[in-house]
Amino acid sequence: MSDVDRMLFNYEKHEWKEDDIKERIKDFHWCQCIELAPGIVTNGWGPPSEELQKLFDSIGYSGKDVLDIGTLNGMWSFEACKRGARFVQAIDLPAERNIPNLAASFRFCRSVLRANVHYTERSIYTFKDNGYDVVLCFDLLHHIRHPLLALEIIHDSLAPAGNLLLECATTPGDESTCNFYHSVPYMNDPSNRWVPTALCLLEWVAHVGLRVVDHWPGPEGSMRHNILAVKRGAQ
Amino acid sequence: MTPEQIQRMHELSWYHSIELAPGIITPGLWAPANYHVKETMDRVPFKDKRVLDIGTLNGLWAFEAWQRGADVTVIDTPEAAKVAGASFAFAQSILGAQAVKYMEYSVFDLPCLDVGRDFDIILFFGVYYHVADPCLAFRKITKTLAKGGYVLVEGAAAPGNGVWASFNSQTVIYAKDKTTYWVPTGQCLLDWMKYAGLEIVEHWPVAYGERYHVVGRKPC
Repeated sequence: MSDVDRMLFNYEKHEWKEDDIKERIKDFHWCQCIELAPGIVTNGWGPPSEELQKLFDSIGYSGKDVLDIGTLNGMWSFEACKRGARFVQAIDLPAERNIPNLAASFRFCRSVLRANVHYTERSIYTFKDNGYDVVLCFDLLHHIRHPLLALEIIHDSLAPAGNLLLECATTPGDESTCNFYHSVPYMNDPSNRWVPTALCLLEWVAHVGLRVVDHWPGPEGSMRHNILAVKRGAQ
Repeated sequence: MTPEQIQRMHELSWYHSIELAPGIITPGLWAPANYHVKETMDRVPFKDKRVLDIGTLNGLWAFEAWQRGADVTVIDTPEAAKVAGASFAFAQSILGAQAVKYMEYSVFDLPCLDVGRDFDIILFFGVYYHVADPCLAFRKITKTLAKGGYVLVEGAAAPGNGVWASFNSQTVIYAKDKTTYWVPTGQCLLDWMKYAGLEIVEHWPVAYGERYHVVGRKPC
């Protein structure tokens, strides 16, 4: 058992005191701002934009089965759990993220929050489960190898009338085009791969058979787009 | 060819113009045969090579490879086989090209045991822009090629600089063809191939940049 594994094992049963949390929080790299106890918030990249929060708030979670793809530290999974989701499955591929102890940070938060969230280190391409009422896919699609294939798998993982909440980097433009970054990185980040226009992103979603209910851009200058889509079929 | 055979040829539907006998050419919808593709095939030797033709339709380029002395396998989707398989079989029998193996698979099924792997040459003509995941298709091709094997690619392109592709599906239709999804710039096509692990040997645009040809190679 490695040190990290031993730490995780202990986390599952740990009774957390504020000082412990404050001490442990320093062990991890934080992408998301998660409130672990009153006044104790992880030092992430910043709170979500109003536009992204609006997307998350646009549906209810009570009693629902939720899949959070590319969960990072797990912020949205824990939030869905807090809002009464029946079952939350978070997936990510920490090995490909180049963020140290990412899975451990998730498990740490889960332990502190006592959140009933399942976590699997798994690629979306090998994800076979289905029947989810909600799929969250934030800040991910532009980083991955095969976005269309991922959307097809997301479609298949949704229950009829289930919702996809999608947020993705976009590039300005009125046509349905997509930039591809391989030889030349986008914004100095070699993990950026596909950056579509908003219209192209909408086309992708429609292409896999989802119906776009609503969509809006991220904050001005952010080059982001938010989409609420629904799988066809009776509830 | 007998008069009955010629009559049968006219009853069948054809995309490709294939010379079945001296002066007797199938009435292909896309007539005449694209000499740019033939020139692309001239870039690599076919004699005694194991060749896979992906999306063969009526088999024009598969038979060309066979005539150049290759051991040829072709694949096409069940949907394509429905509209082009009978014509393929007819051309095959007239040409005496029974050695060419025809199987109903998509590029996304590759590599698979039935089709085999380690091909010396893969032909990928007129296909990448008809699939929703061209990058995945190129990865499948890389996995199916032998080390040092070639892939010959031809397809629709967007004239212009930059590394981008148009995506056409629901509201945007390219050239009135609903089966065309991606139309990349030449540079984007090259990056897709490089990203899939292929080296670029040679590449050039034709038709004012609206089509693009690439000779790619799996590294040794």
